Amino acid sequence: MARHNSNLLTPRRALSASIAAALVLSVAPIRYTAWVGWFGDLATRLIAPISHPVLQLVRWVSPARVREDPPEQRLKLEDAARFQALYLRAARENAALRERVRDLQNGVALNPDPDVSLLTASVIGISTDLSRLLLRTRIGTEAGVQPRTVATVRGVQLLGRVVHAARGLSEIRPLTDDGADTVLGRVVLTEDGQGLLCTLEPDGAGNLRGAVEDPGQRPDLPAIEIEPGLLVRLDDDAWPRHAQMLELGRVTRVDRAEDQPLRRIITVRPAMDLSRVSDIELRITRALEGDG
Amino acid sequence: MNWVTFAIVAWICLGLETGLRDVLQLNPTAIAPSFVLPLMVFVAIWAPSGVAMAGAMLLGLLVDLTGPIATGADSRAVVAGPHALGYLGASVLILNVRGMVIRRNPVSVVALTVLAGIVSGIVVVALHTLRSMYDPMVWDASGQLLTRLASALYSGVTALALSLILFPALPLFAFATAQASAHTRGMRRHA
Repeated sequence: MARHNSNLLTPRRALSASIAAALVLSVAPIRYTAWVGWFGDLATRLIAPISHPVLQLVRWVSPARVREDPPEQRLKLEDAARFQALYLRAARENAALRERVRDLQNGVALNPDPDVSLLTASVIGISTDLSRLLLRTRIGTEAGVQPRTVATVRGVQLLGRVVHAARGLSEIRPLTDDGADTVLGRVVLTEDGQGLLCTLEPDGAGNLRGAVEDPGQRPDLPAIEIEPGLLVRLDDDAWPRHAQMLELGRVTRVDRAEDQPLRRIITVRPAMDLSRVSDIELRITRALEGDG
Repeated sequence: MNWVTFAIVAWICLGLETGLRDVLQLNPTAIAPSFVLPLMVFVAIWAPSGVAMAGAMLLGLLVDLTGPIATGADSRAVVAGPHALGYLGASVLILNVRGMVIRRNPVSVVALTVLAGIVSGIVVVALHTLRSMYDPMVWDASGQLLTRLASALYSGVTALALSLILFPALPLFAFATAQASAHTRGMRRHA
């Protein structure tokens, strides 16, 4: 009997069972295998002690490409950019609040604005799958990070959104990754943040690219030619209010659309290579984000 | 095989793969070398067949667990199995051809790594393409196949570097094959 029982656990049978299990998991619909994600998070945490120091060493040897400014000047420029983004966001919210007041007079309820706190996190690794780029950090649900939490770099450059959050782990897809969604932006032409709307999507080379609104359709704006160097900010209702007016990047190229010569296509490059950042900020909201 | 040594080396290789991926990646493509694949090849060359296949499946499973797939712009999912089966298929191929190569030669590891990468890449792409027919996946089969085939070629570089480290560490793995024992005895004699 004991001999019969030991025959049940031969290495050959164990290997055959493993192959069968792998086949089943490979083809089973994702909704039935969501529990595998727990093991994925565990594996990611286990390799973090190796991947994080390696990544830090790589970032130290070859940091993300940024504008070449002296350190003091760069800090002042970052502070100025931060305050400018806050001002423009406040201006945008004021416009939205005025509209809400009008709606309130017609009986529409107000939604409270959630509190937002910034949490700094280090990138500890990158997903191994060759189809998509996901940045990983050690901060997760225990700190309030949820899927679709907004991530930034240096406070003003929009990085992307959290696509997965677990305890002690979160994964962010950069805006410029091929799998990222289209974003709506605004090419800023005036000091108060007015400008032309644009629809941008990743171009596969670390930039965003897309069509910009026809200036002829906006007589309210000054007649400023769209040219390289102009700043582009987020202006997309699919993103939370606290993310509006964050920087998407600067225009580096302006082309004419092939099918519509009067339509302009712009290429927008973020301030740094978003796939190679080492420290990011996660914008944690106190309430669940209802918009976007 | 000493599974503790294997686990430690696998841990290090997987950490290197996730830590060095973006700096070794050939931008703007997603072509990047693997550090886990050469380890799988190394084990398949020296270990008994059952151990080699089990090790390959374990390594493939780890790659699956640390490489989620995109199921939307703001979502992803972990799918266990494709790389495990891909690495298994590659290890079976290596087990069948290892008698025809010089096991102690790093060039053999390089060539077999490229071959293993091609085989596993085809298996992974096939399984993901099948899944994309009924699951919401952001997936471009032809683009992915080209990327993975190119990554297999690129992995030959990491295979060369790793073989220079793994060959001297062969005694630590304690492979229970005649060839491994002979190689270890030869190393001790020279030492």
